[in-house]
Amino acid sequence: MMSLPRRRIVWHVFRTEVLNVMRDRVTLFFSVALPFLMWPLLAALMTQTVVGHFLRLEEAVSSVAVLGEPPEALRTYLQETEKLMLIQLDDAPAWELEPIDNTLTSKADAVTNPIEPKPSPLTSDVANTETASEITPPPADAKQREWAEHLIGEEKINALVISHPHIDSENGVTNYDAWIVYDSTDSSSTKAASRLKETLNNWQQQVVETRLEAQGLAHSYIKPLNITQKNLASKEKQSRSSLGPLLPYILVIMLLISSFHPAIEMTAGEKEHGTLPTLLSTPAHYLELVLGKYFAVVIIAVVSVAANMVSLTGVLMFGLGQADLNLSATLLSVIFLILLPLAFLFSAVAMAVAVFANSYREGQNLLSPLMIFGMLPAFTTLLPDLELTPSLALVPAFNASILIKQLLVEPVAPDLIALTILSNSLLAILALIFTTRVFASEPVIFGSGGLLNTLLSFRRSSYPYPNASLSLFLYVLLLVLAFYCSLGLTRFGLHIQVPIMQLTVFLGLPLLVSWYFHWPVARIFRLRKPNWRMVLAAVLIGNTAWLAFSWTSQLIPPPPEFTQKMLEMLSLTNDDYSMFTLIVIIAVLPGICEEFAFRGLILSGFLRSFSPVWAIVFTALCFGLAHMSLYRFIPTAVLGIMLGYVAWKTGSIWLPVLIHILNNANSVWVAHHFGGDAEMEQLTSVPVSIVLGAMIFCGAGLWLVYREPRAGEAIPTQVPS
Amino acid sequence: MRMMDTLHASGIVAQHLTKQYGDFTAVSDLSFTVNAGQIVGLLGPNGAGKTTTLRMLAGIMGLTTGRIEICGYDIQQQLLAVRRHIGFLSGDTQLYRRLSPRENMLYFGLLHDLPRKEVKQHSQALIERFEMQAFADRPVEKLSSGQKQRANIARVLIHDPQVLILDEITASLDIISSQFIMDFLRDSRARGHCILFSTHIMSEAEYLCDDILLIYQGAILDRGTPDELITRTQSRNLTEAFLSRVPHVATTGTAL
Repeated sequence: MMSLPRRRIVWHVFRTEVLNVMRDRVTLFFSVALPFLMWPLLAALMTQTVVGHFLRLEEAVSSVAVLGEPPEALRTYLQETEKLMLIQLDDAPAWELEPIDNTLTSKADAVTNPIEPKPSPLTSDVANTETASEITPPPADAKQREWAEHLIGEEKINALVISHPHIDSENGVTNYDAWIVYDSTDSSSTKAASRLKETLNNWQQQVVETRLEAQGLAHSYIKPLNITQKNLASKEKQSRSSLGPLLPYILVIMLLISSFHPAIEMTAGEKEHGTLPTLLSTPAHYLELVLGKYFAVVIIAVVSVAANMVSLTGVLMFGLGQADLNLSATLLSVIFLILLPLAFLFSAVAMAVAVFANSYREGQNLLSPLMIFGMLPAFTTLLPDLELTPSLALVPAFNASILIKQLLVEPVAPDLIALTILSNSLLAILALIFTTRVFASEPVIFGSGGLLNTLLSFRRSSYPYPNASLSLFLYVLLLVLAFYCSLGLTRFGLHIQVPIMQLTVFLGLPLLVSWYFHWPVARIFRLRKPNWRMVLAAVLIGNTAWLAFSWTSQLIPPPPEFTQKMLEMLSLTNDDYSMFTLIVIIAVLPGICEEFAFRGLILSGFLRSFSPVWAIVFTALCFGLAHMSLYRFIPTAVLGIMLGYVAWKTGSIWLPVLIHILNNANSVWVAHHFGGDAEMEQLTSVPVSIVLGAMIFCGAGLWLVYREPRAGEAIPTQVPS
Repeated sequence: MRMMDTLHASGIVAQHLTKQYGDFTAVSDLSFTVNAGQIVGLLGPNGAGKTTTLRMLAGIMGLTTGRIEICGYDIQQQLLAVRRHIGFLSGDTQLYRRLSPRENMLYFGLLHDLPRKEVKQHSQALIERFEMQAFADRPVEKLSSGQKQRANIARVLIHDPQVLILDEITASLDIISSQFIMDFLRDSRARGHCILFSTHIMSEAEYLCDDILLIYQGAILDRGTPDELITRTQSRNLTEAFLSRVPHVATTGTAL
């Protein structure tokens, strides 16, 4: 009925939606004003309260009192110390102390420290009134404790030193015990305690030096080891790493908020205010309406993120005086580039969900679980040492958050950045397709189809056949399960991990789903017997495709370590498996199981909703992405297109299975024979003549398939092919 | 454009319309025609299937079975062409509340893929015709109900549709605004438009309609001119005729 969306109509919708939403003060405030207000305000607030508090604390003089029988020299020393004020307490209760048994420490010292005389004149201890009851002696009883708490609470003093002498008979000197009594919940008291500790240590240092001098020894005598810490991280890196967890967290959440509001406004809000039916009564195609609205949501979200980034960077660099924090323009652009596909993804998902709601408020309710889901990955960036892995790079929102956190501290492998952007972009496209489908649904638009009913109803009658959204759902489920499976089974080795994962996840799950929905398994999975001509074609393609398209792996040249890792994997890491076992684990099992999942159920679902070309391409993209590596993406996607074409044209799953098995078996064989370091070069540069030869054979196979009359479609399609 | 229309039949032809939501049949086997220069009223109690019927005719809701032809275009084959010839207004079709009536008219005119200049000229003409000068540039949310409805009608007419499908457009309007709309409908009929409208106000239907379709539980209960219906049911007016045809719970004489 209609070919391509008319750009001018999409533009009119986009322009008007942006105009309408931007006239709403709430949106305007959230997306543009808030970032420019919030960050400077927060920064100012932080400087005023937190920083101001520390500054005041640093400035203030601590009042301290000394009880017991401290040496007079110490008293004088304390009096002369800056920012300490010695308070005379007249009403101090009798602070009689239990006699302390020092013999243990002295003995221990004697063993480990042969130096005579014992150089330490002061055993300093810090007692906290919080836990004072457990520490004896001071404050030994409840009365003393109460008295000390009262003094500190009333801020008459901030901390207390109790000191008593004891005679070190072995060395013939008088040493002292000192306890610092303070309240750790009171920051002035904590500060006073730390000042006291430092002062007492300094005084002790002086006394030690005097005693050493008397013995004719230099101070260095008791310093056999000089310890100095040197932090390797530059100041810039330090301030970036302190930003690390916070910045992606804030950016991802701001992105969520700023895409959700316009998404609700343009869907549920328009239903509530009756403009959606008005739009639908015009000759604009629903696809044009969805696209116009979608781009409007995206642009608002993107503008908001940009505003946040500009404001935040400004505040960090100039407002908080961290001018050394050099967030380069390149870094900021890369961060922006990473967030861009996420904005597309969030907007599509938010619109698809919000359109189910009939009012703005209902839309907010529906989106709040999504909000939490979106905040979760952002939150994980607060975990230390979480690094991006190829499999994590496929998880939306997680990937961007972790990547930004990492980028702030160190350079990240470009393939991970590319994989993140690629994966989020692909998901965004799929989400947009899903959104347009939802918009085309009459019960949804007229408010009679609830979200849960439509999305989560897996009633058998609703799905007589698989469709694109079910295929997509299954694909995501496959990825998640495969991820957990590999996580849980890695320790058993690949020879256990691969078969279990292949049989349960890639074969078991699609069969289980088909069984649940009572789908015709033979048709969905194309269990049709191929003729001999097609088997010949499959043998030709399977044996030559890897060589004919080996150059595709060089489009994004993998580093040598990657190739080495692949070779190791293909020979099942350092284990002596027979060629037969290797072929079964690496070629036969994946060949059967992955084909049942991808060229079986997923392709069938896509074929029901899209034209054959797009269905085959989408399946191949999913297949390529499932290999969780940027370097393998292009070759596997190319292979996926051929496999999809053969499956669609011949209607038999056994041919792609055969091609897949042969293809993998060839790789195993090559890795087995040429896997040594010396032959590495040969693998990455196949002579042109061989490539051309392989292309001819592969092309011949494809030509045979092309010439074959097309098998009837396995299941009825919703779109004209 | 109008030349093309005259080549086709210039009204509504509905044949065996049926709409099902799951197991529930909202409209069943409805057939009728509305010709150019005619006002046909769709009458029925709440939930009779009026809104569903009008939505199907306006092409914003699909039909389960049956056939609709508008100005000679089949709604299932040429939906977008059908929409070009229809002006649809109901309680659900509102204007963008933060835009002015003029901006709304421009937007919907552009969505009909008409040249901007033409849309602007036509908007101005409609603003003058409906005496909207005072509020044409104020946000719709600041207008009174009567002003809003005038702006709505101006929006419906922006692409000069041959067929008008109007769902309870006088509901909740004061008498002056209602009268304004009735004058507009009579004026449109005189201009040769084909009008199908639903209402709960019997006096309006009696005053305006050339033909009435009385529907109940998704099916046609009775049809005819207002006079025919009144005579057939031996009633004094259309309200009585309606009540005598539509099964209802009597509220008088049962309080014993």
